[in-house]
Parts: sequence; structure tokens; C-alpha cells
Amino acid sequence: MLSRIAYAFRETWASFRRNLTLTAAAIVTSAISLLLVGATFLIQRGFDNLLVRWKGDVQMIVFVASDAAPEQIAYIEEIIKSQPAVIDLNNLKYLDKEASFEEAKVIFTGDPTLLSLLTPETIPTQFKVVPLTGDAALVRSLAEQYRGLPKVEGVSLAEDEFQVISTLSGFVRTVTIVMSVVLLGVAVALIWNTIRTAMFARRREIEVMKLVGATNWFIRIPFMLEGLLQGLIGGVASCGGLWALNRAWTSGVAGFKPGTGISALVVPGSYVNGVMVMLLVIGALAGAIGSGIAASRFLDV
Amino acid sequence: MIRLDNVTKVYGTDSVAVRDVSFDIGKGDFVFLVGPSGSGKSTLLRLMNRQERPERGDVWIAGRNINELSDSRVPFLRRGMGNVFQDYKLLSNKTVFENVAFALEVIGKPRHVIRQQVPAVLELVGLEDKHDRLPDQLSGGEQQRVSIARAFVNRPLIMLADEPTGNLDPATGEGIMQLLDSINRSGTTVVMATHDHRIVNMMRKRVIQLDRGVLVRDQERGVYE
Repeated sequence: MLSRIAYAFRETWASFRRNLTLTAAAIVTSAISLLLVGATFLIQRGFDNLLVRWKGDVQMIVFVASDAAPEQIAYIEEIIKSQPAVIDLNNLKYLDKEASFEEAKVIFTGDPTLLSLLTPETIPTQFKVVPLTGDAALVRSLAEQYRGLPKVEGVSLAEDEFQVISTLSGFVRTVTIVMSVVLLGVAVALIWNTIRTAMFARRREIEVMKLVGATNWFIRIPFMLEGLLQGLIGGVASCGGLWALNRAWTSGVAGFKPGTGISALVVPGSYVNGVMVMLLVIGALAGAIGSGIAASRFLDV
Repeated sequence: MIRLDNVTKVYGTDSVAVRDVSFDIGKGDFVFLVGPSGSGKSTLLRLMNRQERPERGDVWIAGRNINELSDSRVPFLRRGMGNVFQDYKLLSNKTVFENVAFALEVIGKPRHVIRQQVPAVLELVGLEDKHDRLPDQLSGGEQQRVSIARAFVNRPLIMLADEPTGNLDPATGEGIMQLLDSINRSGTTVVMATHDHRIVNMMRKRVIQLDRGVLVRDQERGVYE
């Protein structure tokens, strides 16, 4: 068993060195495509942060001062509920201080100064309003009405904040996903080609191996290891790139004025780490499976 | 040990390489397959180690119909066979020792077995002092001896040889024949394809003659006609 493992690694390494140019091309391509995949995830997560408060067709948020008394809150709710023809009462949600604070933690990940000023005591609570009407003017006039109520700190409309970002998010998502899928395909094709070249270079050896009774798996495994290694190295490189990208982005965002909303685009470190692990796994799997299929196809040399 | 029942092999749609051939080779036999180029000798050898499958008929090796063998079992069939070729098929970047060891390595034999069996078989073929040479540094006869050593190192029941003397001068060819004869005497069944009259006539073994894919003669202690 030990001699088989040693054999597989020896062969992998030898083949790796033999096809240096092709190997490098395969690694660079897989690194770039994986970097794009990772960037897609980070961008998406940033947009999700930004849009988290508008989840579920919420079109209007009524902010209530943190020092509002329960009966004052009840009064605001009553006013909102007095328009059942215009407002979807089933989906009307009230976020208390605890819930609003949890949400703020997501939105202000990239703005620790602001976050440190917020506490569950000082944070405004919110009514999330889903209108039944598509009439923007009507929603706007409702907002005006709510702004005049006691203890209402402000009313935000999705129309003002949300629409542009939402469209942008959809566009960016489509573009990055298409690009990363195409590049990943190119990377697998390049790995495939390196393996085919490696097998062609060793066709005589493979012929002898088959004649003396080596199993197909025994022949295939060093090639699969080679593909796996290419994918994995590409994955490691893409992780480095993603880390640098995210760092530059985070420090860039810190330069913006607080409260512009840009800080929501910062992604928490734990999420970035998760994406990196995923990139390594995708790289290794794509390399191993691609080369395994290539090896099987060309095993009849 | 080897039995062919009405075997027909067709390449493409109409190029018949072997037509309705049947014979039986016993354990420990030495058999020549003779006939001109293209008569189907090599095809018969390739049918015996499952490099090819016949369109019709059955090939039996050691009591098993190898056409019914699944692809994953074929390597284990081949471990019981040695193959020798006209062009030796040695790996030019490996030494004599490594070429022979390779056959054991790829079937997962542990290192101590390799260290023991390879020198023994190299001594048998008379190359005990050339372990570290590369194939290019050897004469044709020596290269063929390495190839025979590689085929025999696993002590196979059957040795298939395709024109093993085809590239060698007569004296060197005779040496190779002596080696194959002594391997045969140790109990290994040897099937050798050749069109070398001199060698067939010298050895006086069983001769199976083919002509355009058809078996035309099967004779004990035969000569080349």
C-alpha cells in the first residue's frame, strides 16, 4: 500500500515538472475564475447586507423613537392599520429594540464607530410596511402622514433607497456569475488538456502498465492527483487575491462618510473565510474530476 | 491452458483478421504461430490477452472464458501472462533494473519482493552485470532479454511472444530462443508468433499455421513450410 502511495506522488510530481507551461496556464486560469466566483459571493453578500431591511417586499419603514411609550407605539400601529385597503396587515411587522439592534449589526458591519454608538436601549424601533397598492404617489402621501405622528423619527421609502441598488445587484450578479462559469469552464478545459498531453507523453508507459496488469485506477490516480493539485494551487492563489481585494475594499469603505450606507457593503471576516474554503474545495474537485474524466477517456492509448 | 473455439475477428466492417479458428494449447506447451505478415498471428495473441475481443467464438484461458470477463478483471488476467514484443517496448528513461521492477511496482508488489525477484530474473536472462544501464546502452539482443525478464519476473503461467527475434541477427535470435525454451521448461506455456523459418525448423515444436486468417495447419514437432 505504502509503495503505491509513494508511486502515485512520485509520478504526479514528475509529470507536474514535465508540463510546466501548460500546468502554469491551467493554474492561472483556475485562479482567476475562482477569484471571480469568490468576488461574486462577496459582492452579493454586500448587497444583501444593504438590502436586509427591505426583505419581503417591504416598501416603507417607520422609525419610532427609542423613548416612545408603549401606548405611543400602539397609537402609531393603530394609524397604520387604519388603512387596510392600502396596507397588507398580515405582513405588517414591528421590530422591537432587540431585533432592530440585530439588524443594525448586519447593516453596519463596516462601520464599527457607528455600531459602537448604538445600544439596544438607544436604537429606534421600526414598523415594516408592505403596501398592497402599486401606486407610488399614494405610498408617498402615507409616508408624509406618518412623519407627522408623535415619536416618529422618520420614514424611509424603498423607492428612494432600494430600487437602484436592487437593479444594480441583479446586474452585477448576472455578469459575475456568467463570467465565473465561463472561466471555470476554460480552467477545466485547460486542466483536461494538460492531462491529455501528460498522458500522450507517457502513452508507451501506460501501454506497458496495462499489459503487465496495472488496474485502470492505478494508472488514473497520479493524473487525477495532478489535476487536483492544479485546481488546489489555483484555489490557494484565488484565496490570496480575494483576501487582498477584500482588505482593499474594507479600508476603502472606511474612508467614506459614516451614514452613507456604503459601509453596509463590508462583508464580515468569517464569511470571507467560508468563501475561501469553498473556493479551495471547488478548485480541488474541478481539477480532480476533470482530469479523472480526461484520464479515463485517453486510457486506451 | 489456452483454447479457442471457432474464433472470428473482424476489423472495421469487412476486414477479416481471423476466421473461424479453433485450437487447444495444453499447460507447459511451446507453440509457434506461423504465416506471412497479415495472416492473423498478432491478432490471435491480442485475442489471448484481451487486447481484442472476437466478433464470434470464445477464448478460454486457464478454464475461463475471457470474453465474459468484466473490464475491471482484465488486469488480473494479464498478471498471469507475460508479453514480449518485436520492438521490446522498454521505457527508455528507466534503467534495466527499473524496467523490470516496473512490472512488479504497478501491480503493487512490496519493495522487498521487488528487491529479491528482479536480480534473480536478471541473472536468469544473463544480465546480472547490467542493472544500471539504460536501454539505449544495450544491444538489441540484450534489450530483448530485458523485455523477457520483465515478462517473466511475475512467474506467469503463459508467455505470449510476438516476433521476438524479428529485429535480431540469427545468432542473437538463437540465444533468445534458448532463453524462451528454458522458460518453457520451467512450466510456462509459450506461444510465439514468427515468420522466421530457421528458428521454427531448429526448435521442432508444435506449429500452427495461418493463411489470411484461416488455420491451415496444426502439426506437432512441425517445420516452417
